[in-house]
Amino acid sequence: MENQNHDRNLAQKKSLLIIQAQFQQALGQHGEAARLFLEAALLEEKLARQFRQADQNEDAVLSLFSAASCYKNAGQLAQAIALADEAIALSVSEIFTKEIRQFRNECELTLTTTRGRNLRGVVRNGAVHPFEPGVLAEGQFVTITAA
Amino acid sequence: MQKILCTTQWVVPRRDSIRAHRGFSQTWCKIQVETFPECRRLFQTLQREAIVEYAAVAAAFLIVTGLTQKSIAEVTLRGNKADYFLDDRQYLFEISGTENAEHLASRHGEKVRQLQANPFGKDGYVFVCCFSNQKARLSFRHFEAR
Repeated sequence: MENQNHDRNLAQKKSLLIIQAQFQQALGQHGEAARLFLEAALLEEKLARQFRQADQNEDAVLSLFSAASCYKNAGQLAQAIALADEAIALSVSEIFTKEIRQFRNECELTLTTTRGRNLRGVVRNGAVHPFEPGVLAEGQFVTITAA
Repeated sequence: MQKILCTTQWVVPRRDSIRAHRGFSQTWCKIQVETFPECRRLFQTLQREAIVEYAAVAAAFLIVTGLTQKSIAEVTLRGNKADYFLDDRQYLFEISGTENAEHLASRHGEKVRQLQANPFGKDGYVFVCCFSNQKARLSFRHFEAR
């Protein structure tokens, strides 16, 4: 496969960001990890566009899925789902499509859970109120973004 | 002041197909591992397994570039799993580390199966290293369609 139509510097920068983000995540620095994942996602999206322009769809799918994964790790589930949909539409590999679909379903499930239950319980009239007991099941989390 | 933690030879088994695949005669390489100031503090903040995995990635990068003359091209994310690619995404690179010498062969086999079933349909390299006996296995494998 010839991959000469994408920016290698961009790919290297993005790779470094992913490694750093995962490292921060392992250290428990979730805020910093999210920031790095977000930065990596933007670069990965850019790479996906370059691959699409060069008709390298297989590589574009890989980058789109990677960008979606970065968004998910950054807590931006809606964006992750949108990119996963784009990757599914472009993918020709059955096994890879199945994996992306599974990832998409997981994102959707998390999004539905946080939207349908937790956030409704804590955000009222535009203000964030303290969590009510029992709103969050053990192991669940919410991502709150300032309006 | 940084100091050298150890100098070690990482032995790559001769039966592995690197030689046949790329025609290299080298079957070992020597690497020096250096510490950075206060690196031991990592043990207070990182889980041991994570340290072993990151150390394995570092050793893998050093060894694969030394033995196969391939370049570390890219890291992508698939869910929570990082995939490493060599030479402009031509080859996948599976990496793992263990502290238990008895797990080296089985972990290598596990990673080989994982590589051979990768969703990209790519051939690739598998690297597993063990830190207790300072041995590593590196092999080249073809993708196996199922």
